[in-house]
Amino acid sequence: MYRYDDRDAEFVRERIARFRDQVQRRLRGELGEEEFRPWRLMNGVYLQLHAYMLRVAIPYGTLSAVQLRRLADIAERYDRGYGHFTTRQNIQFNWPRLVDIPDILEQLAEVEMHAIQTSGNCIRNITCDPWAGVAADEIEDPRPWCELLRQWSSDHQEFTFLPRKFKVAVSGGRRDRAAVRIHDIGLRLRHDDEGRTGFEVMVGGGLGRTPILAKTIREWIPGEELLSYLTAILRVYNRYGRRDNKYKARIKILVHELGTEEFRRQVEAEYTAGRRPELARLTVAEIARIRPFFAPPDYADRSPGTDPCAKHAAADDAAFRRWLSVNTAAHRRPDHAIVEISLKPPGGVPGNMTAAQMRLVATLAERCSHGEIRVTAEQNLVLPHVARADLHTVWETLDTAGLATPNLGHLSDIVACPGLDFCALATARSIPVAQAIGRRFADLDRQYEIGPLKLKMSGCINACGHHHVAHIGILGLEKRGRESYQITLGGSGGDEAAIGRVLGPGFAAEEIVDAVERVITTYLTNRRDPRETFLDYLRRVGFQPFKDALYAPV
Amino acid sequence: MPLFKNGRFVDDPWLFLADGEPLPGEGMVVVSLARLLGSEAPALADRDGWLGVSLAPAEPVEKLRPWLPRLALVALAFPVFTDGRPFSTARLLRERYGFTGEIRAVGQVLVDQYPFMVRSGFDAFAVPRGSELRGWQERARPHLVYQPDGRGEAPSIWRLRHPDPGPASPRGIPRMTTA
Amino acid sequence: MKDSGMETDRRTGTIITANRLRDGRVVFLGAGGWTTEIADATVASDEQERRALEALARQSVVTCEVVAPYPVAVVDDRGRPVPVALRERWRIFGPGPGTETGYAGGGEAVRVPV
Ligand code: SF4
Repeated sequence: MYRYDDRDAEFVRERIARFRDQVQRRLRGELGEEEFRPWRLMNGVYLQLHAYMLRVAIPYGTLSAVQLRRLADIAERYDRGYGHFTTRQNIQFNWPRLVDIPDILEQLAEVEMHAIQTSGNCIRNITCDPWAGVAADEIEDPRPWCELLRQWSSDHQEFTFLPRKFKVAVSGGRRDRAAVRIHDIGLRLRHDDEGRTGFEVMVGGGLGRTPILAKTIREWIPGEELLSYLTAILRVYNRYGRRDNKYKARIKILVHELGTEEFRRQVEAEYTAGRRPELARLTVAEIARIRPFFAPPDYADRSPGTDPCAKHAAADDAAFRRWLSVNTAAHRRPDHAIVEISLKPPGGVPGNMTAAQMRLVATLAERCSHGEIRVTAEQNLVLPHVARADLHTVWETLDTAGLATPNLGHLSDIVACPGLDFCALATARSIPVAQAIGRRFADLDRQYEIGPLKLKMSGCINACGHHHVAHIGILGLEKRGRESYQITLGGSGGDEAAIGRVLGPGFAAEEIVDAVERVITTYLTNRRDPRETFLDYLRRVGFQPFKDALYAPV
Repeated sequence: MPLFKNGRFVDDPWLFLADGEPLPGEGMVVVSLARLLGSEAPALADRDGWLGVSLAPAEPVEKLRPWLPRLALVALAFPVFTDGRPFSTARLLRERYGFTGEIRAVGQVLVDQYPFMVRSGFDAFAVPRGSELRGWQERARPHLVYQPDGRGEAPSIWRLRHPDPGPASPRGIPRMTTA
Repeated sequence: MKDSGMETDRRTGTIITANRLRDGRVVFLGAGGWTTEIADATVASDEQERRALEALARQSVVTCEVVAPYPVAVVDDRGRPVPVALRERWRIFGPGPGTETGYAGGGEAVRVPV
């Protein structure tokens, strides 16, 4: 993992001091809310439905045991004993007081964490593949580049007052697990024929009220030129992105209005004129400095003679076997596994974790995952380095804390934003709907029969729950003073990214679970065979059977 | 309007002319871009006395290029402080066009933005009336940053870490090798 | 005044809500100042009363007591004002039960292998 040097630490401390000063001036009335708001947001603080909310960055989703334990302490001391993991590798606390936030930030800084640019019209937390560094199909660990981007984007002199927020994701796998195409900039790490590291650059993706997938504007930019190239993209956006209408201010609208070709031309012209050799030289030096932090841990000490995991799996331990096949994935080392920790127990709040659970996972990570944890965009955690010999113990331990629900990638592994229970922008609740669906489909055999399925829901058009890229998406709206839930089908993230289509009129809160049930039944009854997944079936037959099932007059 | 420059408040020798106002025979004047490029252009070019221009965020700095040798000041307007376009404009003026005259921030100019402005190339700040002037003396100071391509006093962490990074190898950055 | 879904014979009015600046908590403007209890909120029953409340609220913004005040339409529910709009009801009565736990299934036993 990356560790701060004295300068990184000083940068964060200085930034907190500035924010503390801004908070005090706000409290004394020297700063009005208008002048305060951008600084508040750029330090992760929202004014939500009931209180302030603090969003803490987990840069590129990598977290240490020490950091997770500190999050537990903060949850207990300043919140109500839990935290909420979001779809952007952040954690949110729902109840901090403004006056305490500078102190909280200092406690985070002690463990090399911050809330810098987790909100505001600036470059947000850089996200990446949660399996970075361990995935069997990885081209190269993208995290050194994410760390470079984290530093470069922090307090950027030119790009801190953009027309709108700006999200960057980096993927280093052969498969895209960072959903790069729904980001303002998506980067896919690739090597050229000479083995040099570089990136395919995609621009203009995003969900919200105008969901669009990012387009490739350059097949390959050499690594040392990355920052000059991103500078060019951001400069074109900063200068020409719309500022007259916040719903049209994202870069995707600029790309759309100019056309991809013209946008590319402008970026290339700006890049050619603005290339900075010093930036390239420093990128080379800085990447060389950062890379060793991400060297693999010393796996040797846990390499077993015999694999007790195999013993348990062979034994009649059905529960363990289920978990093993559903919640673990192939590690680049055959004697290790990637363990997914489900934060989606039946009836639970997607992405929520209590302080006690955080401490348990922290300790477990220290004993069995080289002290490392990852946070996923699907609101789960990952233990990235578990020796197969430890899998049974890890499973037992997670199970005692309700963290071993074997539902990864299945229907009850629901992604849900906070919705109207917490969010000031929400038009409907999402948590209770997710809970009800989770309970209805709690039966694991039924979920396995249904097969891989992604259900995601958002409590308003902003789409923080990524419902557009779900196989089954649910969008909560308000219709005449009541909640109304719209179903979207056929979306998908990653490599076969696609934006789902709205099926028809919305359903009332009391009806939505039944409606999902009818969608599922339609698929189960009509699929060609159990190997035909929900998405395959939908792509083969189209929307009509689902429309008939949901809207046909009785 | 109090003018903050070089760490303190100074007298402002410039006269900002509204578009209809007659051009004085001498003295330092700032005109709008429209006026600079309009029918008065020859008169402005030949006029004795220093010339400045003020630019709204949407006005393309590219149009100023032929005029830059003649200009001693470019004022960049912040109609609202959240409009970040002038940051790009200032960098283009300094880094691409090599402009060495004064770049002045006018409009809604907040002390909290001072570090970003200085690093983008601003060196004068028309502080709105009613702002706490003492705050500027206290807070307008550089701090540690990452970006190596900023101006002003802010020390770049990357430059400090790599005082002599050497040339970027024509071989580029080789793939990361993991054991 | 007509509101679909509302009984029209119930007395309607307006209260002023805001967030307390220091801690962000939802507050209402009442006779004794800002209160966290909606039952203690002053209900303006006409335009003039509402304007008077709004003027007071603006004053509290200047003194940095609250942030972002705004009027909320309410109906009377047995002497207690209740907001008409869905969002405002959740703002005041939410978050809903069971939405704040990490694990709704009980079993907080925390055990780590040795
Ligand atoms: S989708 Fe809407 S309701 Fe949900 S978190 Fe985002 S803004 Fe809030």
